[in-house]
Amino acid sequence: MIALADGNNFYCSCERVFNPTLEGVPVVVLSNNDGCVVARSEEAKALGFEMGTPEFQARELIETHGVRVFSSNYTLYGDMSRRMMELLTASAPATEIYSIDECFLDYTGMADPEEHARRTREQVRQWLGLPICIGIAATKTLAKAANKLAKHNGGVVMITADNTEEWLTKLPLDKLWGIGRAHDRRLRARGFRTAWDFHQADPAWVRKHMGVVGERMVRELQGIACLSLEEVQPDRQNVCCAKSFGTRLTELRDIEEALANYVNTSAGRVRARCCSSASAPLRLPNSSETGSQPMLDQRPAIRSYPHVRCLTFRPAPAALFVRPLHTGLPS
Amino acid sequence: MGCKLLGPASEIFGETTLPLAPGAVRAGFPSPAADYLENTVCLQELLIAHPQATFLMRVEGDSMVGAGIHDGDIVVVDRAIKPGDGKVVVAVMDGDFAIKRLRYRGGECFLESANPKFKPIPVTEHSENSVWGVVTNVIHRL
Repeated sequence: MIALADGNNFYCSCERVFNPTLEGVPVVVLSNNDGCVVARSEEAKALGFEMGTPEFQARELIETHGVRVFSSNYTLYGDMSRRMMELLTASAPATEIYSIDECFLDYTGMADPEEHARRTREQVRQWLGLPICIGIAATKTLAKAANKLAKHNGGVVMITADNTEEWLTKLPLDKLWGIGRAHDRRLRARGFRTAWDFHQADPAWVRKHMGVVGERMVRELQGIACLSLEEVQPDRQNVCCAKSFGTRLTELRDIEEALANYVNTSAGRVRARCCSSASAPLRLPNSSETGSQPMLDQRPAIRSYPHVRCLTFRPAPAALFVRPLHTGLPS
Repeated sequence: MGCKLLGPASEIFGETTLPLAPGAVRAGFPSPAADYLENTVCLQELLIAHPQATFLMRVEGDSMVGAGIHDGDIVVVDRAIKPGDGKVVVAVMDGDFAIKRLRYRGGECFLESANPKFKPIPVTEHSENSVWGVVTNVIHRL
């Protein structure tokens, strides 16, 4: 069996541990430079806050409901994540830390996986003050699904061969790991509604329309493990530095200054991995289509740097990608 | 008496070990046996039993002076320890953190100060939730 443990509304929960006044009230955490909403408490979700909404669009909702707003404090979240991962790593013979608040756990051969998960969950709540959910199943994809279902079913859900249909019919398709908007639309057009519908899909059709990745997902839903626990993180292929500007930038000088900062950060990350790179695509945002004030006037940048490829992203932060990374320093 | 969270313990103590002088320290004439040093002590290990569950807080106020906890001290708070009668705890009171001594008297639960100026506060409901962590050590600058 494989389990997936993850923190509920992780950043908001971290803020709550050290600020008792946040208990029971709507809380949102904003990204770097307070650009957009990156975490919401249950109360904030109920008010209609969406992930990724820019702060200026959420402002009215924030003020109307007296929502408590925090800039992201990655020192705090990183420390709490390290503590949580240490407890989770000690709770299973093998683990794969998947993100800042998610960890796959090897539950192979465990006598009572549900009881073990409940104890782990209670320990994290007691020791760290953080609420977590644990999903248990035969494959990673099913464990992810079980974890989603656990959010509203007591914190621990175990999917077995006997109850797969019962649980997967409760899970909307777009909550499945790997089903993005495009796949969701295509599958809905075919009449798929729940994870169980996808579980029943004809593998040949899925392979034709969603490739081997889609086929693998169906097999994983059927309890056939295709993805193994990766205890060692593969070397990173890319480095990305993406931040929203704090204010609207119109002068080329200001844009250059901000971008120099990104280059500096990205180059530091590349050097830290003892790598080098030959290309670094740049993305500049243009949010004029939103009807609100764009965060950046692209015109001066385009005039001065005709070779810079400007893409329209809405409402996206400016970003500098460095790829691909080559091991070793430039010759 | 309130308290403020400090950074992660490992950043404050580091992993440094310090030499430990042999024998107990007398509060009078220095022991002539202390000519050489043996053993080392890691403050981290000495003060922290459960590193993942331990947080450091700065003390504000003088309501716990009788328990040896002074304004400006740093307390080591362990959330892995079960709060019990007589334990010094960080409690949540009206949305604030406060350091008090937990007391069970005749089936009731109180948060006591260690200073006669303050009266015990009865904990009416959710008493378990009102304890944030148990204070295990005080770091006091002389």
